Amino acid sequence: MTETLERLFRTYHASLVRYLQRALGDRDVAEELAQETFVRALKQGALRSERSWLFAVAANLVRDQARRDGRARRRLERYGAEQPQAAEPVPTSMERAEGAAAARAALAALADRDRDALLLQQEGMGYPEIAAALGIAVGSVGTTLSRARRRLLAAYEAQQAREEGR
Amino acid sequence: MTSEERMSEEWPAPEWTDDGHVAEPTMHAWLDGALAPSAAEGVAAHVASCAACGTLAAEVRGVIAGAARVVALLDGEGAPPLRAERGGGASSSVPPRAWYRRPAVLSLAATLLLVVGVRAVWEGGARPAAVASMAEAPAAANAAVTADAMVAARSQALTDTGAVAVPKATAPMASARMATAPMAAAPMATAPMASAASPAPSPVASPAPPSAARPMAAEQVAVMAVSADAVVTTCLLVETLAADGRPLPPRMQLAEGVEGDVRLAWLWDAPRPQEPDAFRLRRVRPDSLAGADARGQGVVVTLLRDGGGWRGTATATGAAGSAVRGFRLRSAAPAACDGR
Repeated sequence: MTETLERLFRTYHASLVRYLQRALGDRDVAEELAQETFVRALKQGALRSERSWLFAVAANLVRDQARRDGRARRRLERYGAEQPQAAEPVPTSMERAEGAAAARAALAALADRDRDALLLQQEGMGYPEIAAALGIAVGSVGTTLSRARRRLLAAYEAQQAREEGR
Repeated sequence: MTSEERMSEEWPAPEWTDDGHVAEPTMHAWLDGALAPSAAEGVAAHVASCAACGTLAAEVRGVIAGAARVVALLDGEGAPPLRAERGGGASSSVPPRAWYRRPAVLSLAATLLLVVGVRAVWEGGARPAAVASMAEAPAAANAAVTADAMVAARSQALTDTGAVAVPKATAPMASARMATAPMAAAPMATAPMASAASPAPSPVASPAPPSAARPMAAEQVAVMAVSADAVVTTCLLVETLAADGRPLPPRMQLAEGVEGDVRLAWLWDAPRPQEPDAFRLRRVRPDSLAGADARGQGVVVTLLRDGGGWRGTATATGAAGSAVRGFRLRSAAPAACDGR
C-alpha cells in the first residue's frame, strides 16, 4: 500500500496541486487538499481509473471549499496575507501579477463544472477521463469545454477592458 | 481490458449542424484529439473542403490557445501577460505584447493590412509542395530590391490586369474578442487607383520612393487592406511600404516570392505604425501554407476557392497567443490567380 501511495504521489501530486492551485488561487490550500485527496485514495483501496478518481475527489474538495461561507473565505484570505506564500512563485513583474489576477477573476466567472472541465483538460486529461471525473457523459465534455473556453476569454477580455478604462 | 482501456474507447460522437456543418463542440473535440480516428478523419475531410468550417476551425484554435494562455496566467509566471504595456509603467524587461493585443488592435482606429504575395503562391504546380515545420521555417530576409527594378519587371503584367489600389480601411474594427472571432468587417473601399489620392495611375513608371523612406523587401510588398469581408479586385495588387508601414506614393508592383513561398505580413496601422511581422510561407497542402517569422511565430493560411476568387483564414500563433483573420480575395483576372 505504501508503494501504491508513493507511486500515486509521484505520478499525480504535481498535476493535482497545480489543478487545485489554479482552481482555488491558494497554493497552501491546494497542497492541503492534495494531501486529503491522497488520504482518501489510501482509504479507497484499489482504484479503477486512478487519474479520473483522484481528480474527481479533488474537484469535489474544491466545490466543498468554495461552498463554505464568506467567513471561511475571509479566514483563508487572512491566512494567505499573514503567511508569506513562499511556495508560490513571486511574479517577476507587476504586469504578471495583474495578469494572474485578471485570469483568476475570469475563471471565477465560470460555472463550477465548466471551470473544472477546463482545468482538467489543461492537466492533459482526455474527454473520457474528464467525463468520469465530473460525472458527466463523455459527449457533454466538448460542449462544456466549448462554453468554458469562450466564457473564460470573454470574461478575461471584459476584465482587461475594465482595466483599460481606468 | 482494463477500465482505462475501456474508458479510452468512449469517444464522443461527432455532431453536425442542421445545415451540415461541424458543430462547435465537435470542433473542440476534434482539435483536442478526442474523436475516434474514423470520426476525426471525417471531420478533417469536411473542414478541408468547407470554407465555413475551415474558418470555424481556425477560430476555435484561437479560442483554445487563448483559454490555455489565460489558465497559464494563474500560475503567475512563465507565460507573458497578454497585455504587456501599462500607461507609463511598462518595464523594459516585460515581454512585448502579443501582437494581436497591441493598442492598435484595441484602438477603434486600428487597421489591419494583410500582406500577401499571392502571385508567388499561384505561379504554378511546378513549385514543390514542401512541408515546412513552423519552427524550422527560415526567417524572412529583407532583401533589398529597388523599386525601379520591380516596376520595370512587372509593369506589363500590371497593365494587363488593370491593378487597382485598395485604400487602407480606417473604419473602426471590432476590438473585442480578438482571440475568439475574426475581426469584424469594415467595409472596404475598392477604388481605382485614379481615384485615390494620387495622380493618374502610372504604375509602370513611378519615380523612386522618397529617400527618407526605405522600401520593404520585394517579397513583402503585396498589400491589401482587409477585413472579414474585404475584397480586393486583383490578387496581384501590391503596394510598396516604407519601413515604418506607411505606404509610399501609390505604385503597383508585383510581389516577388521565392519559389514555392509567399510572403505574408501583418501590419498594424494607427495609432502608430507597428513593425510588420513578416512570415515566409511554404505550401504544405494544395490549399494551405504555413510558415514562421523571424521570432518563431507561426502562421497557417488556408485558401479555398470561392467562386471566382479565394476565401481564406490566416491563423497566426506565437508565444503569447494566436489570432485568426478571415479574408477574401477576388481577382479581376482569375486566370492570373489560378496557379497557372
